[in-house]
Amino acid sequence: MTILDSLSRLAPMRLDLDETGYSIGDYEGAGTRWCHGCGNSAILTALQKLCAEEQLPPEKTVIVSGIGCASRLPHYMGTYGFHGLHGRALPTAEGVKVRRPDLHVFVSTGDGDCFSIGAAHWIHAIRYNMDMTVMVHDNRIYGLTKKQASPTSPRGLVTSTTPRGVKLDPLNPVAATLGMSNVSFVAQAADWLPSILYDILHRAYLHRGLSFIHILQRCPNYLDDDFDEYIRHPERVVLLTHPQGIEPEDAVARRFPNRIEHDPGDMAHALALARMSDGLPVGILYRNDAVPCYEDLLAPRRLPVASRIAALEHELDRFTVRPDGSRSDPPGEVITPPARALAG
Amino acid sequence: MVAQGVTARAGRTGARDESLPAPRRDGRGKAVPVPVAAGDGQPVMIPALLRSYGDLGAIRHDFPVVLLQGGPGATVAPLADLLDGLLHQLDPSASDVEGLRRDLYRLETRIKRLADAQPGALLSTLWSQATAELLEDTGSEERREALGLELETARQAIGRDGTVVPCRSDAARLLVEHAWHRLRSEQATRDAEVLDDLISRVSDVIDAERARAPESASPAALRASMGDAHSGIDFEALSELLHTAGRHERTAGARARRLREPLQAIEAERDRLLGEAASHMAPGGLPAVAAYESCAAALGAWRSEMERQTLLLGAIRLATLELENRFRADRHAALFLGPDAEQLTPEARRALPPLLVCLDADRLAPGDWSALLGILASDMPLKILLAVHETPGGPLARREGTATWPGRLAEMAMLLGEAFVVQTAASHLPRLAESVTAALRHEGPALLSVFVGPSSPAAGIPTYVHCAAAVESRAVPSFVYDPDRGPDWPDRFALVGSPQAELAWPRHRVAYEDPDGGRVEEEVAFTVVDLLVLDPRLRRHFGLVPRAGWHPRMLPVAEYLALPAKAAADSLAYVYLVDAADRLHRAVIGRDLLAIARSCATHWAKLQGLARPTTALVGAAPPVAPEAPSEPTTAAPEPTTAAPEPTTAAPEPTPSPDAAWIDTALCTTCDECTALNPRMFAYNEAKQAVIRDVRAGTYRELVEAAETCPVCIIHPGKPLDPNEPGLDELIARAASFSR
Repeated sequence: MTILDSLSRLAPMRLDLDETGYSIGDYEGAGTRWCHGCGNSAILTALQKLCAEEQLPPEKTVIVSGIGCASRLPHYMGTYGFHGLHGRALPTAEGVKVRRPDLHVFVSTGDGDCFSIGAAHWIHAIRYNMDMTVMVHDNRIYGLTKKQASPTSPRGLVTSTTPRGVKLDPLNPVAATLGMSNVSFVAQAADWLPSILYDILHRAYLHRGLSFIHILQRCPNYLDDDFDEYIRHPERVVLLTHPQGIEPEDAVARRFPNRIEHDPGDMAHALALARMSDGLPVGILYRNDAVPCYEDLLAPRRLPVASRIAALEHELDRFTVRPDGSRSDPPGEVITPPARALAG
Repeated sequence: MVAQGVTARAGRTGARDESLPAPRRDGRGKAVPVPVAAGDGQPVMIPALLRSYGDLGAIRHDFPVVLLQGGPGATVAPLADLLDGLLHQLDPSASDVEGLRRDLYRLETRIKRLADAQPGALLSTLWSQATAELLEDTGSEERREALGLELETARQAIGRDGTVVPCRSDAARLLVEHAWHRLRSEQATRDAEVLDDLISRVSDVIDAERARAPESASPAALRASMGDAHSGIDFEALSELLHTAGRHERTAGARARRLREPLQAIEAERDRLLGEAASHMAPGGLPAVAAYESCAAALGAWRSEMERQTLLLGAIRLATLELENRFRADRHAALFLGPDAEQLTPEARRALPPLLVCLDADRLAPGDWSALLGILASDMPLKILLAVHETPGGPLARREGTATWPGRLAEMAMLLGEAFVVQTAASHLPRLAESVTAALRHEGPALLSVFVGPSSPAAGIPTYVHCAAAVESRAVPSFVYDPDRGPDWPDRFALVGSPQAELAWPRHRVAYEDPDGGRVEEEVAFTVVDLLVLDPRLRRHFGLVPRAGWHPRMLPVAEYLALPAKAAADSLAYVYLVDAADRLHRAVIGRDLLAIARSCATHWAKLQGLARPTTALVGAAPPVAPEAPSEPTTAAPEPTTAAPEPTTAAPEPTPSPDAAWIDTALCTTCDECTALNPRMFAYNEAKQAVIRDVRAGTYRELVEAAETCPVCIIHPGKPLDPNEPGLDELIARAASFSR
């Protein structure tokens, strides 16, 4: 029982104190410059809906991004944002979080930004597990620079950097993330399943720790039929449901005949799902609420003012030189004052 | 558990079975009451099972306890546990461990005797005194030196100090108050830290406000802020410049003014909390923070405390709103008006800082009982320690005609629902320390009903034995009712501390020597009658029977109580007693005491039922409701042609196959359709596309929108305008999007 416990239970009251009443419109920023039909719009809408649902104060919300189509997202939000350097969305977000743990931090990054130039940061951000929500918009192509191959481009895809087709199998970001140390939340979503995307994003936001959401995102201009096999054949989507994961409403769930009850606590099954080749798993693959957040391990307890002053005095006393030339105890650096100062 | 088994070693009872001089008999040969007490009130008889506990100084048990000062972890620990904890840390194979064990046990015995003589003394003091005594008794100089060193090292290894409390009638209060002080000190320190942080942030706001006020740009203020070193600066000009630049808002300072009063309130509370935390933890002796001695005093204190807290919470709330920049004068100005307890919800009231009320059941006024029930049924976080001196049957001695016992309040309190209830005896409190702390932490009222021994104790029976016997005999069942543990009784209620809780009465072995010198062992139950033997006022209810008068229809109390009523009418119940000369006797028991025993047994069985998950009820499916009885045949039959009742819920409108529609829930907000014709397509409040006006565009646009929609959720339906050119081709293209 602390004062704040009491405070948090004060009557919502006649004074109507907590009513902020943000609507989706309050989270809209500049008009989008994405191509019409772009999957990024669905992700933006889901994020704005989440902010309105959770009534996140816009001044306490930060969207951090790197470079790419996906990384334009902070411009379109009516919150604070940071459009950073290529591949450096995650370390920037970590910097924000470590200094201002009270802010709600979201990261918007793409397959090139996160899995190619930013791959090192990806690994360590997962390991640090700071409390933020990471949305990787994976359209399997560099769209902003007009079609170059990305780490997730399908084999054989002809692009301006691979005129004879991509030679390698694509990276599996979900399986890779599941293999990283301290991973605490991994989900896979698709922009064309907006209500499921929203459910996953909501769960991810509520999770304390780094929530990694791999979002398959259509690029109507440079890879327009890439996900058609799933869009036109919903039965190829494997919907993962669980009380600890997502439980879509019946109206949504019944569109997907292929549903699996998957416990997000089961890492072995999550890995098997991530590696499945005959379908697209959508849902929360893994979550472990017990993984500690780096900011919790790091955060020093803030001392009361009196103790802080005492500590400062103690430190400063180490440099005190008394008129008789003796030093304070405990001994610190010996500073020999200039003769003139002593005389004065 | 009790005395690390008050009765566990009763088997060693070395009583000899010798008959007393022949008792007086009436004409029908029945035993008549024979006084079992000497003239001075000294009991000459004690229950056989308590025979081994005459000298508690020689028996290791849960008392004395040490009220540990500071440090994390346990708040109290029996002295025996502290020493055993130390010994467990040692390597048992080391050569000198056995010697140390013997020395520590000798020391423990001395400390116990010293603690009895010096209430309130610290462990370190008693330890030094006991060490000095032991050293005095040690012969060789060399051995003395080694022993002194050994005991001093052991004391340092234990590390913690605290007041040593022997088991007397005030022990319960000391233990609970100690837990209370520890808890309140923690809570007050934490609250003070929270407020301190708030104060520094509010002060920052006020400082910033001050910097923005026009006065801060006056030449003098500017000069003061920059120091004398900048003689080249024309502060007059700078001030003028700053004023002209309009940096200072006219309204600046409004926030500072609004925050001044709340800040003072918060600072005062911070200082008060720091003072309270310090007084709870005052080193040496017990701190003097009020525990209330009557319900009326506690309720008065609670009311004024709640007013103060309401004011404070208003101040904090206002400060927080200002810090978050959410303060709106029109809506929030009323916040810091004054105490208005109505603003607090029951939940908020429960979470307010609690008050401790220490009551003595013997000194309560009649009105206090209803006040107590009122408190326990409310949401006030008042923590009530009720010291009970009577056991069931005690009132019998007062000839009040009823067997009402103040301890029943605990059972009533459980039925009130949300109060935390602990019932036990002082002897068992150290083992229930965690439950006591949980009760004090509980948000809401709590009752700690503790049997602390009779107000006029029988000579020769230590308070500890009396208390432990009360729990052992089921007279004072030890239990915890924790409403925070779940919705159901088995989750909330546990017979914590009650020995052999699965049995009706705890059973122990008693061994004695028969007249022929043979060893006899019997297993007997320890019942409430054994406890009542200790009450000198009840001795007229016992009658000694010489061995010659023993017969098979004399049954131990537990067996007697289990008999059906008819068989019981032909039998007598007895208990084994031991006199001062260690001779074993049987005493038959009067009907009034048997009624008390029966009532205790019934109560105990009820408590057992509450603690146990009732699988029969939980597992069984609810009985199927019987079919409603059929209507009497004379009733007019329903007309079969009646139209079905209109359903109350409006059915979901089904889109006509000819009308255009969008599967809005699947829309990805990709802007394709809205870019094509924003008058025809628009987003709803969830930013997903709907058809705004199907007539605002052509059928061609509708079909093109369906074709370009990346997730294929636009269904064009049939054209509205039959004269639109190229319709045949468009209808063919739209066909693939129809349902």
